[in-house]
Amino acid sequence: MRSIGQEQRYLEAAAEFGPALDRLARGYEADPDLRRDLRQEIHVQLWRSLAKFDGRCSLKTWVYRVAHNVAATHVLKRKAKVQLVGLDELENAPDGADPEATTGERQAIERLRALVRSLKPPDSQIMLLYLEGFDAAAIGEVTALSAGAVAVKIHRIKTVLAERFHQGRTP
Amino acid sequence: MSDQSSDHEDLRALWQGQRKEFDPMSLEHIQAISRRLDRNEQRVVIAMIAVAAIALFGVGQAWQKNPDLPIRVMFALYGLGTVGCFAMFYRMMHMTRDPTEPGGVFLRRRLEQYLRLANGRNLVGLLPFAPWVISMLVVGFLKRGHTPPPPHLTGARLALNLLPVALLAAAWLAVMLFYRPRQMRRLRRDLDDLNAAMK
Repeated sequence: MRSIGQEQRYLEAAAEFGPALDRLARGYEADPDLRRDLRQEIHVQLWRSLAKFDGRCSLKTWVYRVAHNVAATHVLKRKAKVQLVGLDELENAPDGADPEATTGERQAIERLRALVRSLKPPDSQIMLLYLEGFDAAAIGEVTALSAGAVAVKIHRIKTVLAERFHQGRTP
Repeated sequence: MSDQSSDHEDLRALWQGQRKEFDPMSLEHIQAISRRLDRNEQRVVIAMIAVAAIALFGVGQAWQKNPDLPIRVMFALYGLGTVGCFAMFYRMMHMTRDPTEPGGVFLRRRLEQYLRLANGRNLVGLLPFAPWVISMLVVGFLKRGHTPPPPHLTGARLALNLLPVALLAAAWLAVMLFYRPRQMRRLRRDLDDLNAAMK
């Protein structure tokens, strides 16, 4: 038996965070069919989890925790096939693309997605939450990483993004 | 500095401004999938109960037909193994996992689980199979001497017969000596990094 509260909360969450969940799925999965499955799995698990919503955290944190846990499971399943790296390994490894040649929005988005997909969790989670506009405290709440660790990782993310996307603009 | 921070804001805006790829999912669709998953889980449990019941019925029949104590012990162990396996699979299916635990905690649990598996320390989970193995050993012991040796078993034929086993053993050795240690080192490094970040 599903409660009205569960339905209302799901509709509220889907309306407010649905587009962000789509972006999250795009950040984690390149294959469109698998992405559709991942997105569906996220929504189904979110719906099921909301039956137990007890307000111990905000709805936003709840939604992102469920979504990232489903996505992490998805990534860990395919990790055997793809070699993922950490942010520290990315920092000193330029991707070889010319930043000036990738000024187009679409290319930049594609490169951002590829960058996120190459990272292993939790680095990919932090990168996605950073791109979604979360501050360090909110990222810490979703991931349970310490404030110091989140700050270090955000610093690395900024360095990597600067190296890969802004080199052409800096004098 | 301010240029770079505005560049970062541009990237974030670009990310958040991505075009929609799929249509929104309706609540009815989500509920239908959720109900289907529930039904599938129920079906699996019913199938497991049916298999266990049939196996136990067979054990009961065999128990009645064989008055020998060793045979009865064997069938009792077989029945115990069946019930143990049922309990283990049921527990695995209904393991309560908080879907909203923070990402780091969730990942740490997963990595620890993989590490335990790679480490072979998860043998405790195989304990329910022990009665089955024991019962098979009992059968082997009781049957020794009753089975005649195969005729014309030459050395070459024996080697040919053993070849698949030797190949499997070689593959297993390669996994144990090369793949698994590397996998464990990687898992251990990921887990240590995660633990350090969660302090």
